[in-house]
Amino acid sequence: MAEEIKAYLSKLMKTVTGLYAILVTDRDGVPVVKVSSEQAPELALRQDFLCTFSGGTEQANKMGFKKNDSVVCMYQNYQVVQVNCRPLTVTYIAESDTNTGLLLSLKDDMKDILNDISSVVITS
Amino acid sequence: MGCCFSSDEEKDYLNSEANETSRLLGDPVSNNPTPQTQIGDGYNSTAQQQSQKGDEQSALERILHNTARNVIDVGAIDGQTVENQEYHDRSQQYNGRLNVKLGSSGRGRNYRNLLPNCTANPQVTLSQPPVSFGDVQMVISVADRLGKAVKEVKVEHKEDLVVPFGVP
Repeated sequence: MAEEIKAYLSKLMKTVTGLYAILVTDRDGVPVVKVSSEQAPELALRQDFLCTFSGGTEQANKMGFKKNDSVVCMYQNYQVVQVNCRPLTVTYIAESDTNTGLLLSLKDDMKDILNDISSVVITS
Repeated sequence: MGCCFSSDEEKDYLNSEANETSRLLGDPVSNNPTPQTQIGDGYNSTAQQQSQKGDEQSALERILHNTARNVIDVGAIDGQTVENQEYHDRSQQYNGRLNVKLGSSGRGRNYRNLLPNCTANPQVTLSQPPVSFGDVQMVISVADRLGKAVKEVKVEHKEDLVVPFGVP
């Protein structure tokens, strides 16, 4: 059953040029579903990298700009887009010149999946 | 809440819930109407003082807690690593739960189609000769005339909308 979700996500991943990985994790960075291609950098798929977002977004919420929804990190070779879908975090790892707006809009295509997954994770 | 020297009672102050206008230190006059020197009232006033002290303490703690919560602590961002064993356990647990959830719901998963399935072999459609100019003109003129016809549709009033039955 989880394979169906994985299949859908890999199909979704192929619709955006340069997208290497989609990870749906809990707030500690433990993956619930993840799909990645060979080009995805291994370090970015690790839990200790993924979990920094939840801490970061929590602190960013205090800046007085209301709730932080997403964080975009641009690197020389890659870009990492992390979206807050409480209690889940969705991480997209892509090439640096991939269309960032397209990555952010993928959340809409994943709405049904996220609804299904959100009740599975442990909320602490 | 009244303004300075107004005779209105400060109702907010009476509410048990503290807010930014509530006082940390209670009003010594209104809270201790009986002077301590009165005989027999010593126990009551001590208890009152103690509860007042407790309120003060909890209010201070609340302020401390709120301040700590609002401080932007960049150092707190890192260091939430999960133990390797726990990581694997949780990962497996999620996988199991996901399978159970999706399996038990019974309905077929109809996730949003990424692209509409129009044709199996698009190259055949794309290699067809383009539509002739005459056909395009015809479609435009027909659409125009249809549009005009729709605009000219008028309802003709012929008989009463409400028909009375059995009314003399």
